[in-house]
Amino acid sequence: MPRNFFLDFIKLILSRRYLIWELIKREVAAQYIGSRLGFIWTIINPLVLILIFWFVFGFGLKAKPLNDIPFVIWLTAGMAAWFNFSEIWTRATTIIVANPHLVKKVRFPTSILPVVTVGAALVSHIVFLGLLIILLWSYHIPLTFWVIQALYYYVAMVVLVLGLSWLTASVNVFFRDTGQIVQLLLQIGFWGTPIFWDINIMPPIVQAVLKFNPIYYIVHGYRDSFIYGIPFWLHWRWGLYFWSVTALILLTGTLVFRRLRPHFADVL
Amino acid sequence: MTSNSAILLKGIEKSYKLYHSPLARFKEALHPRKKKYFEDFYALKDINLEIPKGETWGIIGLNGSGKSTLLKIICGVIQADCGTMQVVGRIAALLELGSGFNQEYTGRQNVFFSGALADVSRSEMEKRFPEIEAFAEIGDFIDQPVKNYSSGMLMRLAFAVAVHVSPDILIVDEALAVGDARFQHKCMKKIKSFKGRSTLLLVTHDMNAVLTLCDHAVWLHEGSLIETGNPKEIVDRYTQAFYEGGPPETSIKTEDNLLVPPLPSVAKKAVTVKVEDTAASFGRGGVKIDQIALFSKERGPIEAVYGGEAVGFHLWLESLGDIKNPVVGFLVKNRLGIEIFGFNNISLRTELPPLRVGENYLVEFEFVWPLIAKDNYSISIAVADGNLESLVMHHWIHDVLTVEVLSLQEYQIGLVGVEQVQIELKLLDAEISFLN
Repeated sequence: MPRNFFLDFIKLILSRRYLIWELIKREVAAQYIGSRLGFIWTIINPLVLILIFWFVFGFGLKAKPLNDIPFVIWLTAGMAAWFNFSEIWTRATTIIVANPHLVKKVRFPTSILPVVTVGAALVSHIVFLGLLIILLWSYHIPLTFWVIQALYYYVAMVVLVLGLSWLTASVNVFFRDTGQIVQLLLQIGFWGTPIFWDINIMPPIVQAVLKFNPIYYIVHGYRDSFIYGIPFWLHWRWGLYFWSVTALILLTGTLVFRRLRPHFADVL
Repeated sequence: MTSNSAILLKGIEKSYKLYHSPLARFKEALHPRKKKYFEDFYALKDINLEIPKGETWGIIGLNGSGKSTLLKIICGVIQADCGTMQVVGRIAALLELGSGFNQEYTGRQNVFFSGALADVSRSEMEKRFPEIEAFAEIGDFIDQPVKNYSSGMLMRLAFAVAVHVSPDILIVDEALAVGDARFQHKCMKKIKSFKGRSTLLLVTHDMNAVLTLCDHAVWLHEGSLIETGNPKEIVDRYTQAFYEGGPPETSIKTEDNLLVPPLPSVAKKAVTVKVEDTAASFGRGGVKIDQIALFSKERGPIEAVYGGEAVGFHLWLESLGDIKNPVVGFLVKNRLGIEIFGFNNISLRTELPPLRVGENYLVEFEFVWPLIAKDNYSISIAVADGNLESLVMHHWIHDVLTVEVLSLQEYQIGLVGVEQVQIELKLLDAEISFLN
């Protein structure tokens, strides 16, 4: 049965791509409605953030380069993956309750809403990655062919976050606390994942435990693709573990979503 | 399912589960053995319907009878608990005012978004946009955010979009009530142009819309399907049941599995309105009007009457004193309080015998209800003593009864209808007319 769900879901995305596109445009435009600079904010925010990193860690704290890679680059590469993940998960969790008119008043495939969030978040993600590439260029670190591998890690992240989003978005219809819990988990996740700090400062046992965090696989993968040029199959065991966990989350997410969906219109 | 039915419902049920908290609902949805955590409230019970393609059906019923729930199930907005449903084709639904519209976006943006929702491509919407814009008649407001619209404008735009995405099934829930008469007429015309091409489903309290637009009527009561059939018959029985306070308890099961209430007989004690002493009455009190009844010669007691229908109006009087020259009459006023028609025995040049103290009398008026505009009218009644020069009012009651007037004509201009009208267009030959 879940297999049908995925197949139907892919068909749904393909057949309603125009609707999804319109919704993504709305979602992106909604962030800047009424603001003067509009879309430019998508660039300003990450730009300022990276400038702060660069200033603080490059000049202020004089953070040590990791494997001859400036800290700010290492940080930005990991941050890109994390920001995109947390942005999607946060938004997608509340996207059903934020659109009651679509759930209650019209015939609408609710399951595509998290996909819309993924699409809308892609805009800022691309900007962030663009700034990362500029940063790499300014430090004379050559981009390799392995950059393309980031696409694999991106897709992996999307599958994971879709599973999580179906779960939390549908539960959030019943308990609005879910949004807060997700925020809390993201706070813990941000500091618990080796984004700001290097995993090698930890004892080997802790390192092994940290690798159970599926997001770290993505963060690490982004660094591999943009900086180190390491192919993903070199840690295939880790990849296998990631996909098992992701499959489990996806199954749980879709099962819960399918069970709860008929009640959305009644509860909202 | 036969190939020419658009909507097929079998054993549709929807119970609104009265949960004590959202938690109970959540636990139940996820419970592995489907444990129940609620008390049932049936919004729809065992609904069986087959609506053929291209027909127009009207759903009538009191508030809370499950009409909107049924429409929402057909639209797929909410899901039935059990039963099977097959819907063939694309649905456009006007469930509520501007449903699916985003308040922050302009009319134009919302039109295109509605197109996306209805799965109509952008290029196709661009082709239809001028038509939609013209139909909605909201002028420059099309580029204003929808939140600045009046309810009439919102409705017009929503209606314009719904009818221009060329749906196979168009569902309209009481939406026609908004808008001025001219726009309503335009909507009716548009809806009529759909007849035969698309399937139409209307929920309305406007019996005239059912009579003039629908091929078939469905009567829902407390979640059950009471009867389906010819609009006029259903509307008659519905308005009558409404008058009696609900459909009859005793009903006959037919082969169609439809509940058909028995036809009421006029011989039964007429359905009457007991007249209470209220502030809206005045007079000396020498005579008291106890009760009144309005009924159709054919259909029995009624609350809704057709123009041109033979009706009777009865008044029961109780004489508390001697009345030498009784004058009994009534007056029908429209919603604005304008007196439309009325008569009493003086205007009818009929002298009534004196009333004696302590006796009860029945006054019967019989007439053909005039062709007046479809609307709600109120009847005021009076009993007096005397003649046109000097009259002593004994009992006058304002607006004792409200009557809905229905019309089989779908479009009538003005307050009064006219019978046997002929219209002819003649080409005048210039030469002959000059010679003549």
